[in-house]
Amino acid sequence: MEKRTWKTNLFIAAMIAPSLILTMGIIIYPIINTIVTSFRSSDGSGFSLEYYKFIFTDKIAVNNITYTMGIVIVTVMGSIVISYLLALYLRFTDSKISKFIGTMYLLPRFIPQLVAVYAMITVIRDTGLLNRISRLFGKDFRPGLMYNAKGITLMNLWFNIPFATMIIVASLSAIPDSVIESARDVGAKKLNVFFKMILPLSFKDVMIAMTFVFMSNVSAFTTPYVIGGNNPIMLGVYLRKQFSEYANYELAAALSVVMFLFSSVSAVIYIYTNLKEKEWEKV
Amino acid sequence: MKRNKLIVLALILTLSAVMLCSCSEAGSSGADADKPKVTLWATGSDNIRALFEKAIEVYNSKPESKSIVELQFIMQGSGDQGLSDRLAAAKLAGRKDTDFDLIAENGSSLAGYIDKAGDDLFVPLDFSKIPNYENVLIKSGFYTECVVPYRGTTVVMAYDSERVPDPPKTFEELDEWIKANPGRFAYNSPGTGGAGGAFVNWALYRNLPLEAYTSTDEKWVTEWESGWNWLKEIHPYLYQSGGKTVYPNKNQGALDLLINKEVDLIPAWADQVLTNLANGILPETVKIYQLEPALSGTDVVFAVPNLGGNPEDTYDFINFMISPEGQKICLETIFAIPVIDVSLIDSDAKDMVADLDVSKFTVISNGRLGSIRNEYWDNNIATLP
Repeated sequence: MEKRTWKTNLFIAAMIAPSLILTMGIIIYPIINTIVTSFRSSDGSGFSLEYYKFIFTDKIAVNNITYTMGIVIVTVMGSIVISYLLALYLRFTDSKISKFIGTMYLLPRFIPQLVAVYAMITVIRDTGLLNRISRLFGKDFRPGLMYNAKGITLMNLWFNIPFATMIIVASLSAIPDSVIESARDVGAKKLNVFFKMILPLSFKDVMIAMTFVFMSNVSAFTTPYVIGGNNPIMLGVYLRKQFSEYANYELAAALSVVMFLFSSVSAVIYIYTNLKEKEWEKV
Repeated sequence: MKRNKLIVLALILTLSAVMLCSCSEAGSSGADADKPKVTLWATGSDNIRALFEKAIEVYNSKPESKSIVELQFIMQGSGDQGLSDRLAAAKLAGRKDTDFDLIAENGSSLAGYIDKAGDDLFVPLDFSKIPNYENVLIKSGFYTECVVPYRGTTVVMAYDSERVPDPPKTFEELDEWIKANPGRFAYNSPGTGGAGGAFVNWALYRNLPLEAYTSTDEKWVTEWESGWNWLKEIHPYLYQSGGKTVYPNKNQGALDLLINKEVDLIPAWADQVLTNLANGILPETVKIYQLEPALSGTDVVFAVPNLGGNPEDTYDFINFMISPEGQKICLETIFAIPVIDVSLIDSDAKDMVADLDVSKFTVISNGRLGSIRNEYWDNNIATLP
């Protein structure tokens, strides 16, 4: 390998500097600032854990955390299972319908979030499209999906299924047909092929899809703000209330740190699965 | 060859870009070049943005205008830092180089600004340089020497006259109506929009002495008890979805319920109802009326923050907004209630606001008590089963 000259080093430094300075200024500094603020005590005398204590003991706050976690877990599980089935269909079926779905399923990714949320509302609200169709048949069907967890979950699935499917389809496409054919040749049953080959080979990407869906939903704001009710509320909305309605900046900071920690749990899983793969590749 | 073509193409693009730039500069400069720039800061729902965009467009295009106005708009409920926080931050940091030249804000909200930034936040104005000021019928109740009211706004009750021929007017009638018609009344959560806030205020201040209406003293918080109890009492009779009482978010959320006929009666801003009626979103059968005592309203004023701007530059625009022409724009764009004699305004829309008289408004200006109210509501009313 050629030895680096000081010129190359300078060039590398110059290339990195803008992004490094930006990261320090608009990510690292605010994070440190937030963490420091979150430990301030309310009487202004020094540092304490009171805001964290509040978040994990106050009835409303705890209720909001469990509510958020419930919605996020259902969203993650629901979108992964549905996406996996869809991805399997797209990968192993070669028909006009599957090709059509294959080109259409990414469409929701191109629709602005707020537009999609309001479109969904006009369908699911108690006097929405579903209700109007039911009235044609003389019934008065009220979906009851607005202002509660069901509506938020439905909207989340709408957003996350295309995303998760995209990742899983890419992963399944990387499994060569020859691998599956040879397994079939030596007499493996369909289910066997799935559990012994396809699932293990795509497992890593499923985990990645899960972590991304988890992270983007823990801190969701638009959907729960517009579709959700008044209580319990998801953490993103709760955070905003603390910050811009009650001007309770310390509690808002502590809440951000807690949300950050929730997200880091899934980030750790993400990094762990990535590292594990590298070891497996070594063998 | 290919390279040559590319170079020529690049040259053409650069040249045309340069020409476009110089053209547009020539278009907008000329006489405007020496006019001072005034940045107007406003906050509220989207209709307020539409109003100022319209008014500024008309004002800037007049050759006799003495300044060029630019709008900075902060959408309410967008999670953005509020205007009062920004002004307070600039004021407390001792900044003198800001572009906070002029603000438009509810008269009743100014106490909150003063609370955060100190008594000397606004500059006293020289009314002799705003000739149209003498036509203004109402003088603001707060910081009169620092503000010019340019429109009135009030929360009213909006109802569907087809389904509610005789809407309840007094507290007793409303209480009875809500309980007799479960699920047909809704108000938006007070933290997300002023209509719900005014309704909650109405319940809290109904029996309090007048001095409480404009006090930021926390002693009044303890007097809210009976109001809270009533709001808890009507909770099970309000709009329901999925078997649970819910409060829509934002002023528009409550209006949407009325539009979709999911409820029959809501508190709403008069201008929002009238705008929605005029563009056909609300059914024609929707009407407005005022409760007794009235739901709170306020004058909306211009004020010049003490942050380095030159008040002289702003007078001409303020003068324009309270002229019959400016008032006509306010009336026709957002059905604002005029602050000058309606007969001076030449518009078909004036009948729609004929019953709403700015001088008869109930004004509640309680500064930071509003945050205490919202937090109490979120913790004690929203959490009811």
